[in-house]
Amino acid sequence: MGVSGHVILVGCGRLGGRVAKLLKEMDEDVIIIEKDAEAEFVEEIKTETGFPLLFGDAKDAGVLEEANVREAATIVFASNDFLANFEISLKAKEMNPRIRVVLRMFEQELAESFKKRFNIDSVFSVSALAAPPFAISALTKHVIINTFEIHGKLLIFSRFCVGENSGLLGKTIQELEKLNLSVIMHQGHCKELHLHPKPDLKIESGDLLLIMASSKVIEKIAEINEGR
Amino acid sequence: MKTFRKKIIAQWRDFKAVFLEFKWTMLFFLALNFISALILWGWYDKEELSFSEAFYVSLRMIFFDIDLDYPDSFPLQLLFIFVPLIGVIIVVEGLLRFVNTLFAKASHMELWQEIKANTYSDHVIVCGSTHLGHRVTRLLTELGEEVVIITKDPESAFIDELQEEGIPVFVEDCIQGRGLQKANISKAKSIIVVEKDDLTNIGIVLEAKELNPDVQIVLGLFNEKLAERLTKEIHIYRVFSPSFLAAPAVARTAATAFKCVSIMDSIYFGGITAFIASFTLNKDSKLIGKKLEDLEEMGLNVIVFQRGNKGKMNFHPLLDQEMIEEDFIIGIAQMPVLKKIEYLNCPSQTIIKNSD
Repeated sequence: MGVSGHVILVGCGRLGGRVAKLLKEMDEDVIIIEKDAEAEFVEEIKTETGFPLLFGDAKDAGVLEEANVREAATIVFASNDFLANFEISLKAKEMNPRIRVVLRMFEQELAESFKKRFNIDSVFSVSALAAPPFAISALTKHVIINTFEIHGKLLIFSRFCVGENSGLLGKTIQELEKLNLSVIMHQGHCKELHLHPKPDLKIESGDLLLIMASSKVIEKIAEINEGR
Repeated sequence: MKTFRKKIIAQWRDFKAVFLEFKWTMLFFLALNFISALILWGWYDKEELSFSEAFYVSLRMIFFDIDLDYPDSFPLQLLFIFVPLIGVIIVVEGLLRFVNTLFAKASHMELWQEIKANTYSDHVIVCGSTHLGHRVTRLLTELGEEVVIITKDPESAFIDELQEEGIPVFVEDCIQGRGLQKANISKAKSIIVVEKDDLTNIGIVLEAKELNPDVQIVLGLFNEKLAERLTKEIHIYRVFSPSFLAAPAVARTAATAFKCVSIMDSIYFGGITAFIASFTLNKDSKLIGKKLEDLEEMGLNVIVFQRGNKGKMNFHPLLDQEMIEEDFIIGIAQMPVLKKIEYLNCPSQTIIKNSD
């Protein structure tokens, strides 16, 4: 294949499929390698991203050659066969020492030691990446969409549905943001969705808000929204 | 230091469990002693006793160590006979249970796990000792929460490690409800369901809601479309797909197109994916001299601003500030906006691949 500086994505399962869609949005050139032509998401990913799909075992040097591994910028392993992934990553490095390897592992601690020991550029564990929203959601009464850490400060993305007795009614986005939060998205009751709503937009009953703030501010907003 | 702290916390959890398990035994023992001391203090006729002396004497009496003369009055004679008998029964019963508990604790028997779980309230139950369940448990215990684990996999590699740290673990199938009862679900504040298959997870949610309708559910589903549907139609709002949550970080690491904007994470809401991104203003950046409100006007929600790379991280900054070289910004926007910022920040390096 005549591409270079591209990303090779090994595995087109749930994680691989989602990664492919995001890479498409980021304008990356991607070649996907998938063992099973009948895999659940193959057709969907093919249609939605238009990325070329190679069916075969990436352990096979021929498949890697076909994906032009020698001129690729990055190889990402999204399948859950860790040992196979590790073996292929070594082969890819052998064929292209400049390639960046992004490897999936189950344990973050093990991942870190592999990263150091085998000169792998980036190692990730799905459970470590996904765990914070689960843990935070168990501790708060409101709906958490995601969490995000910036320089040691944990920011929470929380969804609020504005009720008839909410203390938020009639306030503008600008007034709300004075409470040290960001209103990331606003969806009016007529379903119109604004990413980054205008400061003078007034909040009405039935509106949905996606707010980003520290847990303390989120608690405060929850209280105001409940009319307390 | 971390291991020492973990040990101390584990010891404290065990002490608390033992204390609560034997609270009635201790209460009966004290009550018996107190009542007996009160009677001796008020009615003992052979010599004058202060209350503290009466208390001390009745304490010795429980262990058949009586150095007072046998009383003349019949009620006091009954006291001299029955206090040691009742006392011995309480002490022996308590001791036997104590030994049994210690044995159960030493061998991590289920009895000990149940004793501990029964002392918890407002705790979090994690169904599934998977990698994700283990990671979530770690985070919760670091936040000081009391956690009970239920796993149907007796071979799970995490069971011993968690039990060593004093966290109760039950090898049960959550879907049958028995494990949830052992984990004291009636008093739990939340349950996190992260078993390995979606159908089991949904079944566990239904069972948990039946046993405690007020418990807060956090559900892990691999099928992100099913997760979305559950949120919309059954109004279970705390539903996450682990792959969905992890994918942005993986994509960010793999991406090569952005040179001057770094994608940090993404959020998905109402069918829209928005990206959290950071960038530092280059010396040839076309953003120099523009205000933060101009970035907002372009569609970037500025969440962090740092003046000149060394200033203080300013969350929710004032938007009328002019940007200078080396300013650091974190914001949220959709991909077309970030592409535009990438171009404006690094006009000489950016190759625009499509027109949006």
